[in-house]
Amino acid sequence: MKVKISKNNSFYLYRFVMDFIILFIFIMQVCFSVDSPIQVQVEPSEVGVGESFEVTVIVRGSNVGEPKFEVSDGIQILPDPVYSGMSTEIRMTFGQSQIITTKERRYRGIANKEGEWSIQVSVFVNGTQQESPDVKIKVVPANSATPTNPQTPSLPQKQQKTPFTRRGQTISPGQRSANNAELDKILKVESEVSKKIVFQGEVLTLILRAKILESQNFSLRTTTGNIPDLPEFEGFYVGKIQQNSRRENTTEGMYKIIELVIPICPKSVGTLTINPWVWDNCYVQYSTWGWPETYPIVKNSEPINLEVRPLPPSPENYFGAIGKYTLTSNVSQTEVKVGTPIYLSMTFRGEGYPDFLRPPAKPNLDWAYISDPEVVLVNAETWDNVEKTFRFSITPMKPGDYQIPSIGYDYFNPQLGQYASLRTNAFPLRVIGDALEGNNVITAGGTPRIEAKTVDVANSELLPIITEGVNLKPVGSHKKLIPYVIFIFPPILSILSLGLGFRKEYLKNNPIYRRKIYAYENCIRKYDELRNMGNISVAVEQALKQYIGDIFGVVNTSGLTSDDVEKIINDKRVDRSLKDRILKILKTCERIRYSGAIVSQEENRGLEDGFRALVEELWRVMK
Amino acid sequence: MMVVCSLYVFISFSLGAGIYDQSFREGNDAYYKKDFYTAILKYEKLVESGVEDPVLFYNLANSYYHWGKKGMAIANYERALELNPSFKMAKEQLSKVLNETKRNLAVPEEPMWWKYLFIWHYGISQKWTWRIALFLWVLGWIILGFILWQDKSLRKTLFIGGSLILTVGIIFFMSGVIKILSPPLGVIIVTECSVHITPSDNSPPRFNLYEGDRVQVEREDGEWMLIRTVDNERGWIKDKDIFIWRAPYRTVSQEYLNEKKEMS
Repeated sequence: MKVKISKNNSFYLYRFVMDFIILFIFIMQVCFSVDSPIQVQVEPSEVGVGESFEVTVIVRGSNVGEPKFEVSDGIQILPDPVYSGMSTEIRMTFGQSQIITTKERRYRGIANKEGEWSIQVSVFVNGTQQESPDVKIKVVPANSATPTNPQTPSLPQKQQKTPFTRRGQTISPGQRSANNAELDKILKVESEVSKKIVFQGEVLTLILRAKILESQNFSLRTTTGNIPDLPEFEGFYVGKIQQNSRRENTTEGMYKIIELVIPICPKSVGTLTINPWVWDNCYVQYSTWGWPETYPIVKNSEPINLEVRPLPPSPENYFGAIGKYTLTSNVSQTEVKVGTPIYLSMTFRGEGYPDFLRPPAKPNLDWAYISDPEVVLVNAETWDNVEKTFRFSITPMKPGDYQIPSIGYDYFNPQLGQYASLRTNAFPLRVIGDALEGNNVITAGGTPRIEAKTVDVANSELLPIITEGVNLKPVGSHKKLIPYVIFIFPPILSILSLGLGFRKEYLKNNPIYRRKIYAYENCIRKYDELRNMGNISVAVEQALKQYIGDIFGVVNTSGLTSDDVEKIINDKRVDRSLKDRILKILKTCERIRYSGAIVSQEENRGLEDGFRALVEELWRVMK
Repeated sequence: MMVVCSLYVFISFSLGAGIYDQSFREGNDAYYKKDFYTAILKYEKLVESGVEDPVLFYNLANSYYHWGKKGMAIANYERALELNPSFKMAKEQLSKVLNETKRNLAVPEEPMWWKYLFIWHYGISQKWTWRIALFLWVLGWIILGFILWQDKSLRKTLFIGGSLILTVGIIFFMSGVIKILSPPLGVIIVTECSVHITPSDNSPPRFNLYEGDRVQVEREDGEWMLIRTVDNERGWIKDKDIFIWRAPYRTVSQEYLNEKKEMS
């Protein structure tokens, strides 16, 4: 069938083909167009003579070298970058993976002469030298430049300036401002402290908070997938960090709030700064028509300055504790023999940095030896609920009625701004027995022990180690084999036991089979019983007939004659020589029985030997 | 003959234990004298001899901690906890050291459905898993083996009971096998190291890991290891930058200790 294309139809066909070609060319252009891999930005674009400016160079490619500047005489760019950064991403294009490295360098420049100057950057990208377009900077007389924010090499300001499209193009200024406004809303990073004026060693709470706008159109991601690193807490002890997440509905939208609650404790006095929490290495990812568009975003919280005041002069019983504590004390016994240690425990509970809670001075007792305290610390991480126990072992040396004196312990309460005193009770102690001579005492770490194997010498710098109760035998290869042996043997023994059980059951339910199995034993038993009655030929005859009956399943063997036996044997196809021997023995026995002749001992022995040999052979054959 | 053999075994065990006790005591003494290098040498010698005790690993971890090697300290706390998951002091100390690391990166975990399925086996140490499995295995087989020797009325109950016990034993056995076969965990022991896309120095780095970061080692390829972080980020790092804490317990080389001693 021929299709006739009318003039009108051919026009539409031609138009369709042209549209397709144009669309194809457009798509290919979009896909394969190559942008300049180098971006250069100068901030500010207008400076005064003698003022500094900042040049940001961002280069993208698989293999990127270091940038080199070609600058005019009127400006100077310092060779060492104030910031160096690098990120790597893997991009899948038409099933091919491509590794793209983005290098970012920030250089400081100084304007020397008035005029408009250009900056050009050349970089080796993927083995070829690429040059950036000229970037202009206007240098005006000093103090007449447009006032700008002082340039600091802070990461956030830098990266907010350079949002990327998916192929690395810088967004136009109009677009950028619009996007920046939007980007500003997407992430907010805040920090706050519970107090800004604190005493040295006082515990305060730092809250780092990140608010992330939730939307279906975009998502905020970090290159590592984690929340960014916390700021360096130089000059602070840091406690256990609690992370909370919640959602908050605001006029700007629904925010996911990540909050880190960090107990911190200043180590020194003066003005200490809590550095900003920087959310760098993160980006906002939009999905437009299935193409992800990413925009780097950097936000940080404001730094916080703390005024840390020194503690007032300390009282006599002050050992470094700062916070708010209660004290309970007890002794393990009130009556004890000479030389046996008792324990005086002082338990502090409350809030504060636990390492500052140091042991008190040992009471001076002339009638007893006191060891350094053992230390048991509970809730070391949560500084708002610390429990620390100092346990002195007191070994009485002399008998008598004594009193363990009250021990004073002062701590600094930062809320009150002054020292507070705690005191243990005084405990009476009766010591019985004879006085000890020399140094024959049981010291801490010896026996008897109350609880743990821990021996801490109350050295706050050293972590406690365990010195007792350790199994120091190496795990030998033979020990490793034991489990395998144990694994293998039970099923084998169990199967054997099951087999025996089944056999028992079978024998129990099948008397013919049971007779066959026990034929030999029954035969010998019967022979022995009858033989003891004195007539060997009768014993042989009866035993042999029973044996034949058992192994061939004959129900009643009492009336069998040698002819009957012959018939049975013939039916069962027994070996001829065996058959002859059976019949010969049976007939001999019958003959002796019927004739009533007295058989000599030799003949009896011969009969018996023949019978035994026959039965054993038959048993062997039948098995 | 029996007496001589028993005496020989007893003496060899006693002498052997004495040597280990002495080494342990020397390690403790060195620790209290703040000679952490010697303490570590003594403890590591015991580990090399095949001693597997949570207390030994705990003391070793404390020594590493004071010596400034937080990565190694974390590895040894983890070992102590692996042998005794309820070791409170090790747990507290591990938490403290992790807080002192740069990121306190969590341990890579199995998927949630897996964790829920095997929720019971996470709190039991490898040793106890095997012990329970062995006990149930032996008990189950004993019950099944003696079924036919019992009265008929009891047999059904014994069969069900024995089968159930065996099944539970097999589940514990599987749990032990899973613990052995699951990819080992390791900790970064250098201050900072780059994670590469491919196992090559020329490969561009993807991200960085820091001392104390705990990762799962999925594969080893020569001197490179493919690791996975808790965020499922993967990459290759050199084996000298990571220390695997899973049994069989490795020891650090003398060169490593000497190098760190010189550095410190």
